[in-house]
Amino acid sequence: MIMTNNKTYISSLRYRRYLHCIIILLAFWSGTCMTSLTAQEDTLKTEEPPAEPDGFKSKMSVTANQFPDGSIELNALLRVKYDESYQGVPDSKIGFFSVSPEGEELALGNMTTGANGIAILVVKGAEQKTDADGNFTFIARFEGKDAIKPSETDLLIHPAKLDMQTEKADSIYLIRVTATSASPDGPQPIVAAPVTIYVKRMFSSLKVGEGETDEAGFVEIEFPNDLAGDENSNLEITAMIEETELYGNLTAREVKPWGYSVNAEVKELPRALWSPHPPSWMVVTFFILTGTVWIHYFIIMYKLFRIKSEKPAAQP
Amino acid sequence: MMRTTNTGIQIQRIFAPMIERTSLREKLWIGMLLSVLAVGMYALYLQATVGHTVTGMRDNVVWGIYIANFIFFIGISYAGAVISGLLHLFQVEWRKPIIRIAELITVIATIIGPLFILLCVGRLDRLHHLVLYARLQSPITWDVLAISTYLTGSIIFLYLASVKDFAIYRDSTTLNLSKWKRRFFAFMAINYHDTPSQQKSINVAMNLMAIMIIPLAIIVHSVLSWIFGMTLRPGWHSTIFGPYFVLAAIYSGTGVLIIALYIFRRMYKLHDFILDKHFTYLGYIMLVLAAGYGYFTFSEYLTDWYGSETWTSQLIQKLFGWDEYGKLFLFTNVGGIILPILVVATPKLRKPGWITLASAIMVLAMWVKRYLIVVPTLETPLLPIQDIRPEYVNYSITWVEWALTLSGIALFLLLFTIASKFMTLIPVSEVAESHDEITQTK
Repeated sequence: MIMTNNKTYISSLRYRRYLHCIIILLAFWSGTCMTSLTAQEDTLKTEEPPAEPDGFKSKMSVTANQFPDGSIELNALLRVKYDESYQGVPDSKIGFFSVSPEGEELALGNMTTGANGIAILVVKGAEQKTDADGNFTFIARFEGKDAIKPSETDLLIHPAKLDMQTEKADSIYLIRVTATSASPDGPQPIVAAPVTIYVKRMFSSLKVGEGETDEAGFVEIEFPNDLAGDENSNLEITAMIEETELYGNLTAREVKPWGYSVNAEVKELPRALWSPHPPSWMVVTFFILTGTVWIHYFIIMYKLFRIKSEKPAAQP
Repeated sequence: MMRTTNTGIQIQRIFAPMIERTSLREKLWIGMLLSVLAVGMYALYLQATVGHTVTGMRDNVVWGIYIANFIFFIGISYAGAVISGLLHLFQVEWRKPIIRIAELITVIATIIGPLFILLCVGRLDRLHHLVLYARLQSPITWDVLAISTYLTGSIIFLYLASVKDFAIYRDSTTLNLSKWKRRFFAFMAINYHDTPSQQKSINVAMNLMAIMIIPLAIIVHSVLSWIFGMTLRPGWHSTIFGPYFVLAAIYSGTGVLIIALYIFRRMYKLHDFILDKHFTYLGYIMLVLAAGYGYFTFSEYLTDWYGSETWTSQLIQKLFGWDEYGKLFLFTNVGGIILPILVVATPKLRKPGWITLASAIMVLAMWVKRYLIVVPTLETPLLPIQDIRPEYVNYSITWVEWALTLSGIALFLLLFTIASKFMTLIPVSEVAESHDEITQTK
């Protein structure tokens, strides 16, 4: 009997010891797991690119858009190299100049760069002086600021323009474009230049057609008739010869009612997180639930008020 | 004049040193908690001035340990809400000595939990926008309203359960109270003198609150789960998330209650009031909840694993991968489900010490589980991120986050300590009435 009791006692001791071990191991393991939460060292450090002793080097580039009315849009882009990539420098003053045949710089005006680092100045081509070859020379100059070094660049372009004419024949829309450059002998055709037709959309321009000018500088491009316009069916059509070395960009724009009207009527939004109003069932459920709870709170408050206002009975 | 029995006087005598004065040991304890809070304040200052870059949170993993803490604290608030509310409704006698501790856990945890949300908000200066531009269709708005309503309810519930005690302290000749404290108790007792009509009013109010607090607690944790469930993220978009969160909350709340009971029983020698059977009964509740929680866990991950949906599979691989979250995931299942069941199911281990140890490991496992709900999912984005720093893809806890987490725990303990200076942790009025019966059935 004593033997059996001893055996039971010893086995229960062993049993208890095993469980002890398991639980202590679990406790230890939980501690290890907790430390593993922080095992991944946060190596992130906000690393500022080291500023050069005399400032960051800036980079300027300038492009031009020539329009049929003779105006020239100068786009200057100011950038600095930051964090291994070039980024536009906002809020910086850019000076624009034209260069006379004698090499004298004539100030055109100052513009400030926007958030993307671009400053735009529109000048009249007729008021600019050309050199002996009939070219315009423009300079965009940044004087430098803070830790950014000054920079400048120049642009030489030949006066040219695109003339755009539109025609509707039955259900076919046609765009006729003539590209000419200025010369002392009158306008000269720009031959074999690629012309692209764009339509302005909400965020960017949609390319809808392209062609190449013939010997007369002329090209005819068919325009699609299934585009969505505004509520009056209008489309803003742009013809362009892009990024030529001699002329820069040549651009012509026209608004035509060649799209189909998109009804501006505000339709009810589908159910979504951004819907302005919650569904009525939700409002009803919310007020029932919240109301029920708070009414009970007020009932309880009233009970407490009753307790407080009760006069105690006279002590025996 | 509120009268109490000898048991009531005995309880007052036990807690009198705490209520009447602050001992050197208590001062040291409070000083230590304040030191931890001071470190947390410095961490908060850094976070507010430098920004969230001092935390491990980035564009990809926008929630981290703070949200895990938030869910955890709201979860343990269930200790009072459900245990106390449910047991009150069913008139379970053995609940009486433990309800005060349970209700205090509820109120304090519900205060601490939302503080972690504030730590998570990047632009605290726009906090009022939550009210000004509240959108009823947003789960965040539901959460703000639900938690504030729940906190109000919990405070009312605690207060209702304490009114009689405040009246006893006010009229007590056992307690040697300072003037201001006696005035405070007189104010809190709201002229309660235990007249029949006052008794009726307080009982009606208590019953109403006991009924209200249970659905309210369920709604609060369901709403909390819907912040996750309403998003189309792998591991979150689940129909069982509501009941899963509710069950996990009651479960961890029970665990914290067991730990608190064990500590206070030892600290104040409350063996005459907090009996072994309290641990056994709470252990049974914990066992049932562990089984239910295990069933939900198995069901959730089996469904995810079987579906083999691309993003969900990536998440499952992370959770099961030994080099990623496998160890933690296994710990949550072994320590959080299997161990409590084993301990409570084994008669020889059904002792306060073992049950408390199992509860402590379970509570830790439940905290880790909250972490595993939040972080691995955010590390599994629907749109893969390429060619960026690993710190942006993976989350790791920084010292600032640890400091603020420990501060949350320190604040919890500090508020508990302060509360214990104003009320006995064993409700005098409740226990005094039924103590003879408890002693007989011990």
